[in-house]
Amino acid sequence: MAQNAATATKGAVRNGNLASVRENTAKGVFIALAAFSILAVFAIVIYLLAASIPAFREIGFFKFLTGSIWSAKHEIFGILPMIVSSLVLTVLSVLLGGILAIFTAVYMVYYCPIWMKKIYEQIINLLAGIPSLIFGYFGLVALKPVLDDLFNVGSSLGLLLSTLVLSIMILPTITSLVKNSLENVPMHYYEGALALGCTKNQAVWKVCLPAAKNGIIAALILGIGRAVGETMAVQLLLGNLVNYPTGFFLPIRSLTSNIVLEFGYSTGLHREALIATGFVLLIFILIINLCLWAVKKNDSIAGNKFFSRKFKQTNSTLAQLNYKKTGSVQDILWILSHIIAILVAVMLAFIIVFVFVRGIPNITADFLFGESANAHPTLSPAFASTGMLILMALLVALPLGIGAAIFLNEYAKRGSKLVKLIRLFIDTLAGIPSIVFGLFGAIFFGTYCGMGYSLINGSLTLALIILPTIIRSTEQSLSEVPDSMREASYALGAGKLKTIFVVVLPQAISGIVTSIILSIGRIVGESAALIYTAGSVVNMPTGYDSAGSSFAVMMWKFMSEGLDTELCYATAAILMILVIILNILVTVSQKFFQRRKAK
Amino acid sequence: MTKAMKRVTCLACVAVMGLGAAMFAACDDQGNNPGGDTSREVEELYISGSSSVSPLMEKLASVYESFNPYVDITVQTSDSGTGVADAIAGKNDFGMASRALKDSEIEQGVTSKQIAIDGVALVVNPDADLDDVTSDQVYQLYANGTAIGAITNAISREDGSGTRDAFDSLIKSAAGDELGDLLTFNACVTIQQSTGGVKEVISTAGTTNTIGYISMGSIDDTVKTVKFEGVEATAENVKNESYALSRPFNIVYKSEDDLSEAAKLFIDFIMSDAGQLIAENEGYISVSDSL
Repeated sequence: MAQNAATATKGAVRNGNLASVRENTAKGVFIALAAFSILAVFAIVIYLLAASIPAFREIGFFKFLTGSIWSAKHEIFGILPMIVSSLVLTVLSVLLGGILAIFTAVYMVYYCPIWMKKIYEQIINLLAGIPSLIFGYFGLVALKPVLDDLFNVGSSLGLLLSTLVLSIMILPTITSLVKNSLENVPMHYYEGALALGCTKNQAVWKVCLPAAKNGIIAALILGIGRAVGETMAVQLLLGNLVNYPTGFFLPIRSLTSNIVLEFGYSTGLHREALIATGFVLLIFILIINLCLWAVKKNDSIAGNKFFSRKFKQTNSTLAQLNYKKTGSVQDILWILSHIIAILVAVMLAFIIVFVFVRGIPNITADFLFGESANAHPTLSPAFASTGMLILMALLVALPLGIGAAIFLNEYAKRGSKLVKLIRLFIDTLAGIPSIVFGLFGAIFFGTYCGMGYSLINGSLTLALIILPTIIRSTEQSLSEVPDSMREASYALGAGKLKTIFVVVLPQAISGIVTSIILSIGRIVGESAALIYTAGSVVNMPTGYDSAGSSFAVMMWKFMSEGLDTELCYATAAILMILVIILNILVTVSQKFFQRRKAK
Repeated sequence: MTKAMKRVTCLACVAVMGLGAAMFAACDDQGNNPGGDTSREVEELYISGSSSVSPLMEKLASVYESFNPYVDITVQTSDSGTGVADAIAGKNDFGMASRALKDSEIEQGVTSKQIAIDGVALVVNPDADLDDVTSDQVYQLYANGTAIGAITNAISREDGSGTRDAFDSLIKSAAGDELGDLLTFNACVTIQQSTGGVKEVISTAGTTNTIGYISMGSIDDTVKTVKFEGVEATAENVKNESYALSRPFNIVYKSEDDLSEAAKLFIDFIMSDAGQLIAENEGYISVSDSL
């Protein structure tokens, strides 16, 4: 940053123009802000690597990766069963979740009435906002007994249960991305298909869906990233015995659950081995991100492969007959998409009812606002801690994110190598699982910077987590500001900096507000990254240097000793209400800004 | 300042104030000095460590605070390892550990003091048909999956948990093999991260085929305790050593001399009859002879 400023100053002296000093300095600052994501990703990779090297050295890199036994007590550390389990679990959940999501997205785009589509958008958003701990309890308390009876097994903790819950958890991500790319399929594809005599179902399933193929693949890869990184829910449902996943009802352990299970207890080599587990997980995520990047890159260069491919020449009457026959398949798909869409809505309703029925009777005014003390925990410290976490994380992440977005949209040449590089790193940051952020926070902010368990540690970790959301959302709305407004501003003699702050940024306020609300949602639901950074205490935080627990961490804590199960569900209900309120806020604010724009 | 800029600033201010309001309103209660006497400073104690010890420590702290308004005790719940590590690093006033210190930890210059004993109780669903188990039966179930009557599944805790340490070293087969020597359990065993997780699975209606173990302080009517080698899991039986499954609750610090005055007073309270009575009331076993 200093260097950039220095070069900027040099250039300015040559020009002898004060205004350009300011402009160039600003540009330097924006570049630095944008490059922060690169720095963050490198810092995470390097710190985790440095912290895992002792483990690799002592255990042996290949022994660590290919060992089948993990026993901290006997100091034997092999993570192959966990790698395999993580992969199998991910593949199965993405298959199931992907299928459900694609059907839901098709239903939303092509089959449901407009008023219904709006409801479904809310359903998907709500499902995306539910904290993973809630999914975990739902699976453990509501779904497990059903599976136990259904399959007549002693304990259904394991692959099947986790796959079911995980596929519901990644469904919103995939659905909304598939929905977007379906909506981007040009209308004339659909109309053309109808004009050629296809039925509506044939047009949807044989023309429009294949046309959105690249978008669907990208969505599935993103789903893979989510599934690999999911921690708190699967930790409750996997059974966590170190096993190869040879059966649906065998307890297995994933990479993420290995970390969250044992990190707290670990010391010495054990701790290093767990950090090394985190590093392996990180490498997986980086590979997945590169795949995603490759798919996207492919997309922009080759255009749409489906329509550029050669069609086979066939006997036309035979083909016609065949086509009529296959029409019935699409009709079945049509029915399926309706069933699945209803299923998704029912699932959400189920989870909400489950949480409210268990939680709301336990909510009392004293539990919400009473003074919290040892042995009499209430949620008032959680209000304070969550508020403080949100405030500080936003204070750190907003300037970084908005600055980066300004650079990407206003300064950088579109399609330049630097922009591509920065985008790649922002996407990478977005894909890193929160447990890895938690590990990084615990090692870097906690140990290296000496922050220990504190709200400032938690806030900084959270700032890293929400940064990509803020950049993307702000960039999106910056790019929607018409160029004519910028040109008008230049024509009136305003400099670039002034144009950005006075003309462009106020127009992009809707994206910034949305990103703030989305970030708050993410912070409210986060638990894996906070347990080992902000700590878990029942006391009122006295400042940013003291430990503090947000709602989600409180929920985890209430569950931990099994003495306050009612309080755990009460907190879950509060969290659920917060998530619903935040969702309503997003919708209302978007409507508000839309209306203002229309004026 | 242009109108647009004002609007942005306004919005930002409102957002920040809204967030801050909750936090300051909540913090306000604490800022007030109890009793209105500003001449004495509030002494802060920071205790960190084992999640098994912390419910007891929180109870002790709340009683202590109630008649000692100039002490403010923070109990940070995580695990025994952190409690000891924090004590070594001097990050806390003292740590909590639900196990004896390891040699490697003693080498780093910390010492422990036992404040209570915790029994480890084997529990099943209240509807389950199991009243009594032997050590060998439990060993065979965890090691080989041999069912005990209708009990076919078992739950253990994660490696490193104090409860699991105690359980692993106390459960032995008829041939004298220790459960802790196994590299892995039979596949009928699942691992839960917390006492709450174990209880949640076992207490779910209809789960009558699963056995687990939890701290005696965490027992309530959602689970049923099982006799071990014919002995009921009660505080008296732990105290007279007829019930074998127990482990110490320790506090960890560098040395008596390094403790702050406030910490010493609090520890004196814990070890006093009053403190030990609280431990008994909470379902743990006192270390005092006079009770």
